[in-house]
Amino acid sequence: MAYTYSKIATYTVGSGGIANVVFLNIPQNYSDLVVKFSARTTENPGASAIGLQLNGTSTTLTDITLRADGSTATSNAQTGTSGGFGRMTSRTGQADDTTSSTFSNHEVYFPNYTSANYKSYSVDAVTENNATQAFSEFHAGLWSSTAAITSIGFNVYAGGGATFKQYSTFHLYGIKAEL
Amino acid sequence: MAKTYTPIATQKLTASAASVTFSSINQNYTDLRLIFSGTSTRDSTNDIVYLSINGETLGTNGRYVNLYGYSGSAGSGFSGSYNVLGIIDGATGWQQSSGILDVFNYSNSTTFKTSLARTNGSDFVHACVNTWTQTTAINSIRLWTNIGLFAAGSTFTLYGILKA
Repeated sequence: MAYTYSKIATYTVGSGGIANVVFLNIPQNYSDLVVKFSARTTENPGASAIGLQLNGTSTTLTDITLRADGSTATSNAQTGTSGGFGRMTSRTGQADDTTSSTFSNHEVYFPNYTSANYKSYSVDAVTENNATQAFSEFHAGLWSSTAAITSIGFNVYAGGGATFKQYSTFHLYGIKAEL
Repeated sequence: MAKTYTPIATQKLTASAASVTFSSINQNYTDLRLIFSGTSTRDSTNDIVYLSINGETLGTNGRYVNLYGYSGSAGSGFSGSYNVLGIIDGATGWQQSSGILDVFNYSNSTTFKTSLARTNGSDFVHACVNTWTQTTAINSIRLWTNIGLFAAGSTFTLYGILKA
C-alpha cells in the first residue's frame, strides 16, 4: 500500500551545531512537500530570522509576515538576501537567551512544488520563552521561479555566524495526491 | 498498519470555474484537509474564496474570525453569517496563491463544526477560524470566488485523516 504522507529525510543537529541544513536531490514524484523543524540557535542576544534557500538560490524570494510578540500584532513585506539565503521568517530563530531547552517550531508547506508556475508556500512558526516576549508568525512566501524545487535549505538568517544548536531537528515529508 | 492520510479526490481545472465542489465525502475519517494552489481570474486584484458546507448558500449557518497581514498592516475581522477559505491572488503573470483548510471531527452529528484556514498571496497572509453552526455531518464542501473565477490550472486536493 502506497503511503500518502511519506518521510523523505530527517536531520538532527549534532554537537557543535551547524550553519545550515539543506535537503538535496528531492524526489519529484510527490504532489506537495512539508518541512517540519524544531530549532534553537546560538544567537545571543537577539531574535534571529530563519533563512530559506531553494535550488541553491535566494534572489527571487519574497515574503509577507504576520507576527505577534506577546503584546502587538504587526505585518510587513520582506525581501533581501544574506549569504545565499532569503529571509523566510522574522523572529522565530529561537535565540539562545530564551528559556533553556526550548526550541522553536516551524511548518513550511510547498504545494505543487514540481509545477511550472511560481511557487507559493506557507510558514507557520512559533518560539517559546518563559518571559513576556515570544513570537508567533504566519508567512506567505513566494518563490518567483518556474523551476521545480529540487533542494531546500535553512540557516540562521544574517546571524553573523550564528548556527543551529545541537538537538535541532529537521524533517522533510512528501505528500502524494494521486489516487 | 493503517494508512492515516489518504487522498480522497483531486481536481485540477482545465478551464476557469466559478466553484469547486467535493461531494459525497466519505464519512470514515476523523478529519479533513484541503490543499489549494492557484489564482482567481479577477485581473490583478485579490479575490475572496467562500466556503459552503452541505450545499448551503452564503449567509446561512457560517461565522468566522480572521487575522491578516496586508499592505503593511495587521488586522482582524468577524462575520456572523458565512465561512471563508480566505483570500487569493488575481491572475497576473505567473502569480500563485496557496491555501490549507483543516476541518475537524467533520462526521460527528452532535457538535458544530470548526475549521482552520490559511491562505497566502503575493501581498497578503491570512488565517481564519470558521464555525459551521450545524450538528449535521459534513458530506460536501464547496469553494467559490467572490468576483472572478478560479483560473485554469488551479488545483484542489481533499485528504482524509484517520486517527488510528
